[in-house]
Amino acid sequence: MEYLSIIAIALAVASMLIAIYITLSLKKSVGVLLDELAVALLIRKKSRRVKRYILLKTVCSEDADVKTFIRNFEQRISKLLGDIGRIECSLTIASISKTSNRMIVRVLGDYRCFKRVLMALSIQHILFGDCIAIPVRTSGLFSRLRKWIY
Amino acid sequence: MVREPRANMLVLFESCKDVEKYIAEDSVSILGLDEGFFELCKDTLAQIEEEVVIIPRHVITVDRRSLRLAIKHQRRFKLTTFKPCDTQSARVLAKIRKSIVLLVSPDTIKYVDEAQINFLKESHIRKFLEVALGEFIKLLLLPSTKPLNMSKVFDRLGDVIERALKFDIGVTVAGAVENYPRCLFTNHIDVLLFSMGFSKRERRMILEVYPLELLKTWLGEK
Repeated sequence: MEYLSIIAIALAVASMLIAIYITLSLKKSVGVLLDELAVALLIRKKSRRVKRYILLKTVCSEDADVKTFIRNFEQRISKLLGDIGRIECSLTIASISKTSNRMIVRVLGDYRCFKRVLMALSIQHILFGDCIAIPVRTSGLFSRLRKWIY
Repeated sequence: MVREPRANMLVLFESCKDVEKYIAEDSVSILGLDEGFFELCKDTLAQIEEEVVIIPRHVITVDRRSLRLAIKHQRRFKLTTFKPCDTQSARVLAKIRKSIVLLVSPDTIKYVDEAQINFLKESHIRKFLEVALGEFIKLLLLPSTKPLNMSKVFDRLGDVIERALKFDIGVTVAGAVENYPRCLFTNHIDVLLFSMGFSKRERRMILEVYPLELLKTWLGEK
């Protein structure tokens, strides 16, 4: 009987030790997982891509061509944004109206991209001359700007 | 298109046609032209159909020696802006019992700093600041400008404007860049201020409210 009780106590102590060990290791693993989740959430938040549309009016001097300006438009802005800006911000012409010389530009990137692109648009003519791009309106929806293009 | 009561306090064009083009394309309603150029284009400007107030402007560079003389001989038929060359002249300009306009440019930002705003705040007569944004942008596009210096200058400019707005000191903006295609439209000025972090209300104050107040003060003085 004595042996049996000693074995039972030993088993109980062993099971308790195993339970403590498992709890500690589980806590550690859960902590690591939570940290990973937080980092992932933070990164996700930082790199959240926002889409904005900018309505532009183009004004060209007599000796400049609007078509050439539109063709080189993305290159010009990319040059001002720099290499890193080009990676972070995507810039595409969404729509052009030849009658009113207006166009809608789509900016895709984090929240800073929109400001950077707007600034690049505002100073590009001082560097390159010929055509001026005047930001008229901005919106998060293409449909809202479409009525202003014609 | 409805014209917004926005102002570009100084443009430095080379021909009268450029002014016409600028007014036709931009929604500006208060435009400052260099005094000599204003006289030259008087007839052309009279034919403009748009409702625009065109002001003759004059920028005087002053130091501690020439300051008294410049103030004494200041003509009232043109809106004068003072460009201080040293701290002493900037401080004296803040204390003068007269409504004056101080120029904030890359050359004068050393003297028209946050301390200067404190002096302007204590003045009993309304004082105005005129930011030559075009000159700052030109500096940004110069290949010889170091990025660190550029960042410092824009940071300081932002602090000066912010402090001035906080103490209700009039701030106006001039897109003073030389020829027509390389100029700043009021929308560009608005965007640049937005990029610098100013709210819609602050931008409206800078582009619409303070220029109108400056105009009223100048006309009242006249």
